[in-house]
Order: sequence, then C-alpha cells, then structure tokens
Amino acid sequence: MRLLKYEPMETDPFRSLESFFEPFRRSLREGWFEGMGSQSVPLDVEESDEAYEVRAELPGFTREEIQVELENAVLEIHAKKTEGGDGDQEKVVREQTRRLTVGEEVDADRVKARLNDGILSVTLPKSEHRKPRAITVS
Amino acid sequence: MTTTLEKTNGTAQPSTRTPQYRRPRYTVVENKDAYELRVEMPGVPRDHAEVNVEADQLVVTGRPPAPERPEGSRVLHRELSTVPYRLPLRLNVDIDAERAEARTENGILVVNLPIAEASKPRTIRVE
Repeated sequence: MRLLKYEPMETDPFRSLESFFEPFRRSLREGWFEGMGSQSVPLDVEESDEAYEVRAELPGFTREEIQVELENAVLEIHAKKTEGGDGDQEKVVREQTRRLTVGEEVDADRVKARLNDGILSVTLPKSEHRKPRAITVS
Repeated sequence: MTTTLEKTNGTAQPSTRTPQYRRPRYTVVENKDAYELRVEMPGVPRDHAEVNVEADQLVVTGRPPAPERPEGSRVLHRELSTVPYRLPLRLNVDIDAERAEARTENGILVVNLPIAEASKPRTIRVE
C-alpha cells in the first residue's frame, strides 16, 4: 500500500504562480513520500536559480539497476537488485524507492541523472519562463 | 562530550553534538581461502577510504568529501551526513594482511582478506 496525496483539480484560475512551488516544498515538509514494502532512499535537495539538485544514497546499485522517472510533477527514484537470472528464478535481494513532488516548474526534457560512488545526483532544471530574471529599466 | 574526553582528544574542535564518526553497515562472507568484507560508504571515493590492519584489529575509515554546490544554491532538505565512517573490527582469525586487497564498487568498499595459511583448516591423513 502506498500513501499518495493528490492535488485536487485546478479550480481557481487566479491561483498565483507561487503556488506552483508549494507542492514541492510541502512534500519535503510532510515526508509522506516513502513507499512501503521497500526501503526508502535518503536524500538531499538543493535549489539554485537554475535548477533543483537531488542527491540520493544508493550504495551497491549499478546504473542499470536504478530507474529515475518524472511523471505528473512527481520524481520517483527506484532501485532494485535481483539475483538468480530472469523469470521465475529471479529473486529481489534489495529494493529501495522514494518519491517526491517537484512542482511543475521543472523542465522535464532536460532532467539529468548520474551515479558516482553510490550517490545518485539528479539535476532538475527549471523551465525558462519560471526562472527569476532581472528586468532592465529603460 | 565530557571535558575529560575533549582534553584527551587534544583536537581544537569546539564541543558539538555531531559525532566524530558513524558506523557503516557491513557484511562479511566467509569463503574457503578468504573473508570478503563489504562496507557501505556511499559518497566516499576510493582515495578517501582507508583500511588498516594492526595485530587482531581491522579498521575501515572513509571520509565523504563535501558535495560541490553551485554558487547561490540553498539547501531545501538534508538527510545525507558528511560525518566520516569508521568501522573497527576484531579479527578472530589470522589473516594475511600482506595479501589483503580493497576496491570500491558503487559506494561499497570491498575488502578481500586472505586467511593465513596457519589458520586454514587442514585434513590430516591417517597413516
């Protein structure tokens, strides 16, 4: 069983831009994003003007065993280690999952992930039009 | 934590609640000729890990380097620790420290500890 909270459908056409960021922050505050049945994944999240940077601890997993997905503003990190080959013989020896809501300002096409010494780093660039920008007064 | 401890430590570190070390998770597998020790130290590159064998004590240490952070970035959430890892283990079998080897595999330090010839079980032929 998983406990997932869903945002109700957009009803207020005047919802402020700020509220786009809110689901992301709230998911971090409430910590509801852990899957059950598999272990969680400890992580750090940082934010710059350009992007969000997620660093997750996944020791012992290879690149092939890690899946990173972004769907409906939810980032899911899923790692699974099996042994015993394919089919019926396959046995899951370790599985870890973590989800977090990242908000809609993320440019899904430019998300990048890399693995180094058991740390998965996911860069989630912000969409161009959501970045803060300085406007020159002419 | 206590004043005495700080004094004996001799290091000029201010008193903090952060522990100096944390114990990593590990597994040991016994093979015929060697023990394989696998220590989980995510974020610790090869050159930041150390294995020391002295008498019957084996000590694994690892220092995760501070993550590179782009200028102006701020922390939204923090769960990962940068406290160094330290795992002291008492060896109850003679190992051949000269032939011990270590490598890193995706954040796991794998140490191969060959069992010393003298400690290997042997079959004695009945004459």
